[in-house]
Amino acid sequence: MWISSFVVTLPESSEASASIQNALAAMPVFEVGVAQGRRLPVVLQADDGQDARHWHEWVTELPGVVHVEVAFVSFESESSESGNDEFSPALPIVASQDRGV
Amino acid sequence: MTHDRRAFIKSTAMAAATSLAAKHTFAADPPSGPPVPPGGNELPQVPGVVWNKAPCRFCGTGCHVQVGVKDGRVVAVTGDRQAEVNKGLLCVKGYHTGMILYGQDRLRTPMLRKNGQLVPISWEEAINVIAERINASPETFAFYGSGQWTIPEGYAANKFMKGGLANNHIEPNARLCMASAVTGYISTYGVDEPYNCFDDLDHCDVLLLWGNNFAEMHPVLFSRVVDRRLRGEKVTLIDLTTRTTRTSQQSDHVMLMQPQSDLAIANCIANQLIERNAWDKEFVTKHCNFRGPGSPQTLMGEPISLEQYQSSVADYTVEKVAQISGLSVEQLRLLGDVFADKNKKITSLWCMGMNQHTQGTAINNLVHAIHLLSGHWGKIGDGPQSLTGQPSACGTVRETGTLAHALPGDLRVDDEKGRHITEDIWKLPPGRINPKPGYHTVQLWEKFCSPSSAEGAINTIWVQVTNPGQSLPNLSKLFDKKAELADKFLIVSDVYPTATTALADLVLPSALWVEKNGMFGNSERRTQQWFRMVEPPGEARDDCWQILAVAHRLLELGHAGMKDRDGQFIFQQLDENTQQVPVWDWSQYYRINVDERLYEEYRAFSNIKHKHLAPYSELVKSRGLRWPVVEQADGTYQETRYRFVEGSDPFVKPGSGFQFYHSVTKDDKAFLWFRPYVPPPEMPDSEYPFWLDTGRVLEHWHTGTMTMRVPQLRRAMPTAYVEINREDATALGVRNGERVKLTTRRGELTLVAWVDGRASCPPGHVFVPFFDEQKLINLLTLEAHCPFSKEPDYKKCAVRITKIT
Repeated sequence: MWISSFVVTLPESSEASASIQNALAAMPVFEVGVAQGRRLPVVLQADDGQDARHWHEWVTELPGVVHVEVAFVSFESESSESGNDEFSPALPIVASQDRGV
Repeated sequence: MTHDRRAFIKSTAMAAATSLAAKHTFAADPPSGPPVPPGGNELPQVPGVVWNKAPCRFCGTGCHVQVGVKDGRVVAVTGDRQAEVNKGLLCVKGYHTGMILYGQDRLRTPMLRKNGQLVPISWEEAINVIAERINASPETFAFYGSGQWTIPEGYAANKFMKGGLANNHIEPNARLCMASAVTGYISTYGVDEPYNCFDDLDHCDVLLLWGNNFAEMHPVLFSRVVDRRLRGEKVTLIDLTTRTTRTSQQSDHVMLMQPQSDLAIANCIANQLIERNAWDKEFVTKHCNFRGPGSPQTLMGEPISLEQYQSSVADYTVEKVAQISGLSVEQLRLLGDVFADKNKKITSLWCMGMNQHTQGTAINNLVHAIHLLSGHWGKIGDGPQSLTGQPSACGTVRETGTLAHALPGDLRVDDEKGRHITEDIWKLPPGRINPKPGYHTVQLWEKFCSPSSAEGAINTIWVQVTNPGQSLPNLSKLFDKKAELADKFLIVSDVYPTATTALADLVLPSALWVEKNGMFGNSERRTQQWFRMVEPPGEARDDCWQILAVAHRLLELGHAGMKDRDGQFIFQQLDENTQQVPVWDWSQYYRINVDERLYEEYRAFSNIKHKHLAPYSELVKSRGLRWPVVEQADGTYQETRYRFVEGSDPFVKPGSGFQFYHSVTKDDKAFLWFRPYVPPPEMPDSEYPFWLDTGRVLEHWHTGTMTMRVPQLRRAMPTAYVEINREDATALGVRNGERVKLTTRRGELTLVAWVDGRASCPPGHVFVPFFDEQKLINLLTLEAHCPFSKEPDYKKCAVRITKIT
């Protein structure tokens, strides 16, 4: 379980701002707080933590979003399991001309 | 996780975000009131979770986080609201910083290469192997560390090398990232490091970014600008860049320049100030000496007159510089207007764009020069400031002196007085420290990749906390040749397998971040401290312990350098009963706070050039303090926001206004430089028709050793790519996602093309990130470097692109 919270900076346009809040509210992974001026607190609950980054990027890319800052993250169950996944990039000794090509 | 606990954590997360949203995050004034101790009352209250402070492990911003630990594991991270740097905010890398500890492939045991394979060995054997190798040939040994070394680690490595082995072949990877800023500061003000601080971002009217993708690479600092704009303040952003990025999207003016033309642009601004009679004569006359490059150019150049300066910059007319730079005459005039306006406060920021430059020292000199010339210097929000990419490039590399020519406290090995001071503090016999600077990074790796019979060859290198097998330029020449030289020996201390461990003969597993005590120094002279919070995995151990253990083994082998002038071990530590603590024995290492002991010893150096560091105990209480930190009459300690500025810097003579008290000419004046535009050593031609630029991406930090272990970050950006302009892609018949081959005079690499991606290169330019160890762009880059800083240029070389059919 990956629970995190952001502060989303909304645009000046109230129409664009409302559109962003609606888009967030429509996604069950988000809980939208009460905007403080143009700053909107948002909580993200990602089921397995794998797509938390995806949702962070999704928020960042919403049209009109000025900035996204992170306030808190808990990855309690994720870090207490067996660690991160399959990445195992240890490189063999290879000739330089073969590296990366 | 139970539903109740999940609901509780969600409410905690919402409370944290709401609290941050409710207030203006970055106040215009420094905070008042007593400092709040670590674990203060604003921390999220999650049952079973214990919080403590630490600086983020990544960049040089130095954000503080609160790290939540439960059952011996890091389970949560929140921005530290008591930290002035970030006020509770974090960027996407800080967001994931806790997860870097838990990659499945953490190194857990020492491994020695036997018959071509790395096989587990004991720590005792590993320490023996290193010590015996060094003892057999101490002069052919070198140490290669980084700006990710903690301050005590870097200090210990430096003392081990320069004080113990009388060997100056110690270098940091920071040579590759901020050495030009160092030479820029030293040759302008006579002493290293920024005089100003991040507070400038809260006060500037104009923010001029010199080749700096600020919004993505230092996003929490960028938050300050966003915050001010939200409050209705006008902050004009000018993005002077070779490619458009997310920073450009937020900028008022995007000025696309040709690579290397920043030199001409800076001179053009100076010329306009002179032509318009808009330079600050009073400030310049009182506080500056004009300086020219000399012939040939040297680091400290030669004195020139005002008239010589005027005639030198006169050549840089807007019309001529428009041709060199690709900027329009109007854009160049706008820059002239900005600097000519006395009522505007201008902050210039730069990072790798100016530092990784074959004229890196020169462009640093010139940006300082236009601020000095225009009088946009020394007021809050009004001055030039370099940023760093590593968490302790300043605190460790620059301050403890882990460069081949340096000693702690800005002293130099080739200065007799500096050596004497150091030998005195280290209690060494006179003459122990070698007066000849060691090899700089490019030289050092060339010597390691040369046959042992070659003069001055380096035969053994110990690498800690960095990944040169990926980050060095021209890897085929500077790193891969090691594989062909059987008698070379590469020792690597790291936390994960890397492109460097792939060629290592001995691999040592290291503790990471909050698995050890540590201290960093960020880009604004802020020294930070944290305590160990969790155990490292397996047999991983602190880098500092590894150094002390090897030093003690050398002592046992009879190496005379491991004794001080009183015959004691150079790293001797005594307990409260004056009994020696065997800190070389891992089981005893944490019996005392070795970090505190080493730091307090090192702190004696900091007073020599007015860089007074706070006592360790003060740093424990704070979220970092900016030096010089000076004890007050009431016993409290006061940090300094602006050096050389009366009213802020306690060392400035009253009534002087500004005082460059480490002036090279010893007259309290800074150097105001002219340096000419010099074309880059390699430019596109008919055979290699494109410019190649390399750099970082938002998701990954440097070579990706840590961030590629965070699934969210890896999946967001799994592989390197080549960013290519649509016009060029069309001409080459390349569509988005197709593979292309990049070829330079040094190597070739196959990559996927990204047309109109996140950022955008202008026609004739391509960009490739360097985080991907499966796609080593540094096989292609150029090792040509600045003649003074010795920092290579990763930002510009010529490349050919071929579609793969």
